[in-house]
Amino acid sequence: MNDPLELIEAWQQGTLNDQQAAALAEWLRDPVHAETFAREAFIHQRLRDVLHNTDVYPIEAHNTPTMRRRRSIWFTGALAAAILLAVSVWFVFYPVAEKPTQVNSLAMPVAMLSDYSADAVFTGTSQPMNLGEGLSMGPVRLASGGAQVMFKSGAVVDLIGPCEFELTGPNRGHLTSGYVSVFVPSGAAGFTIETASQRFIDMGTRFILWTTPADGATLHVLEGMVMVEDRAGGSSGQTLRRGQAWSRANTSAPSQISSFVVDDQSPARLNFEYHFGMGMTMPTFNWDASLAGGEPSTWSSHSAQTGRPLSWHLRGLPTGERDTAPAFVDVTGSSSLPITRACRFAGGFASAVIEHTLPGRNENMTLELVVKPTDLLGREILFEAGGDANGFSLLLDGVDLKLRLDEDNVADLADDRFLEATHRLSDRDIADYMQIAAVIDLDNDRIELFVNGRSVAAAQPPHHGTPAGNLRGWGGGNTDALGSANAYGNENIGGDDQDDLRDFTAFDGWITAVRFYQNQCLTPKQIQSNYQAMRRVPRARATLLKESK
Amino acid sequence: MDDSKRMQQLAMAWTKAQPAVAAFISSMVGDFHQTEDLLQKTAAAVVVKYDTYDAQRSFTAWAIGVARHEVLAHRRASARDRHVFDEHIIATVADAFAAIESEFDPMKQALAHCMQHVTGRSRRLLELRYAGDLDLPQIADRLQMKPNAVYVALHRARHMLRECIRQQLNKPDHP
Repeated sequence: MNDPLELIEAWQQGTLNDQQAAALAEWLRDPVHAETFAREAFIHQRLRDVLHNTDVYPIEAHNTPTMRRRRSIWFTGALAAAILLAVSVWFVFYPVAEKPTQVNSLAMPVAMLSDYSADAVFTGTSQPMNLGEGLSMGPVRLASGGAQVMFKSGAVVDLIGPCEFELTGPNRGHLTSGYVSVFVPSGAAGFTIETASQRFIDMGTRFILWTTPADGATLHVLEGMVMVEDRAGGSSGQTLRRGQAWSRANTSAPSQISSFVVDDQSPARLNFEYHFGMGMTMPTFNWDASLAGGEPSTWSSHSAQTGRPLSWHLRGLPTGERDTAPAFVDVTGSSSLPITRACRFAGGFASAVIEHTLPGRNENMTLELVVKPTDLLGREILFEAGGDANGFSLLLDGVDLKLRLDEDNVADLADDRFLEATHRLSDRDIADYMQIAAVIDLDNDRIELFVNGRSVAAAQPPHHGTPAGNLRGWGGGNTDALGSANAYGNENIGGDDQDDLRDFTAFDGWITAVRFYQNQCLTPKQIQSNYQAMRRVPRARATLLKESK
Repeated sequence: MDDSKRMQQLAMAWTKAQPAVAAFISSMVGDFHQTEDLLQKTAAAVVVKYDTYDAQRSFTAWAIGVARHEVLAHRRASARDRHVFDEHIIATVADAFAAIESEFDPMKQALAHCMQHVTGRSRRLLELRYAGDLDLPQIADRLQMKPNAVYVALHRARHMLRECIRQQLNKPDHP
């Protein structure tokens, strides 16, 4: 490799060996050559600046033909320039000492308070919280409302109260609890936020992050890329890209990655969030009616761990008539929740049968549905897995909501015995969509039923904690079904015992979201948080930067 | 001129100079994150030293001079690292950046124009290299190509861009 341009490229790529380095250095001693080098370096840097916000990993899953991709205001060149200028002007007014000591470097501003909402309440903060005020390293505690902090680097962090955030440097912070929305212009790439266990290193992007000391952290990457590392080390970092979400509960080792669709029409709103909201725990599979489209005969999700698709086959009569097949319908305005689409099950011969059985059938699990029955008159199947020897089901038995589990080879559940948690519903409950969560905790031989974020019933075998009551699985081998049995008839319903579920039929109502959590028992707090997340309306972004455009 | 006006002037001058300063730092230290850190340090130093700036001189050239000192300080602080360029070369390159400062704006515009014509695999390679910050083996892995093929393809893409920029700049009414 003797071509100087190739040597320059190798230097830029970090692949220069010692001999080549010496050759390049020798070549650069000529001022004319140095000018050529400067031109190449300028193009190299410009390419990085120009391409940095490119989506290098396009998300193929979930793209719907109706999605309009529009750049948000945050990503116009003019705005980037405005931010740069604002930061430049700002740091000019807070000049740093030429030889800072450790003490005065701590007192030097590393960011400024660039905006806050009228209802913002700051608590326990030693420094003045006035608009445009320089902020030194230290905590910013926001009890309610919203506030925006602009770092010296140009990174902009929106805090949504209640939130506890600490400025730990000119380009880094620590999120103790709460929700932040972050925009990092390319010049501030490397911006880092730490939580109790993780480090999130931005690569020129925007993302949202929330955490609580009890529940771990969740990240949504809206643009560009973010690297996630364990603060304790021990594992290599994961790179999350546009349209990916990452979640880790403090109590569970594996992190979960899922995909969502970014809706650029509003910077803070995701289609994924439309149902799932900020603060929710990431499912292994999620079927969200707002994402369904294109193919009317299946309802697909992708595994959070493997990315593998898994679909429900939506069918009507076996003869090919499609009148009673579940179908996606517009339900805008029918709910107080932000729900616009749902899968309509019309009872009769409707069926939604899974193409492959759900994974982890001998592990803990949580199943969460968001449903609205038409009435409380029938005996209907919301969900069933497995069969009469080993399986479980969520059932509507008139006014009773039932979580049924049977495992015949467990002594406590042999013969005509089974486990059931029951909750009585009222017409008021079905006036709107309900969150129903079934938790099967094999470790503790327990099943628990939740409605709208609240635990309503639980059951355990009489000899739980002993071999006689030791639950070992929930699904057997039969195919799972949603809103129906696994065939056009009503045989082999999960948890059935001596045909006592034989007269249950397909669900009559709407299902807008289905979430499956493999090997995870959601905590009551997580289930409540998921419910609250569904009810929360996305907050408008702070506007100072838009005004300065 | 009062202080606030002077500071506004500084902010605007810095905004204009920053791409060239960033390119200079990047060309000397290679690593992207080190570049960002040094760019921030340079910005802070520019503010502190602004009183010494002679308005008759080019601000960009002066800021590159400040950046040069930051690069040298960084080099001394990381004395154990491998250093490709000695102090003399750093000074030569800084002078070169200052000498061709007037070319940067036209180059920016020419590059923007030329990038519109880079499509297909060439574009994808450049995106992975510059937006994804991936090295050759990583790009090769992602595109199921051999590293050497990636090297050659990237080299060609850059060569194509270089030629396009040259042609644009040679036009009498270049963009």
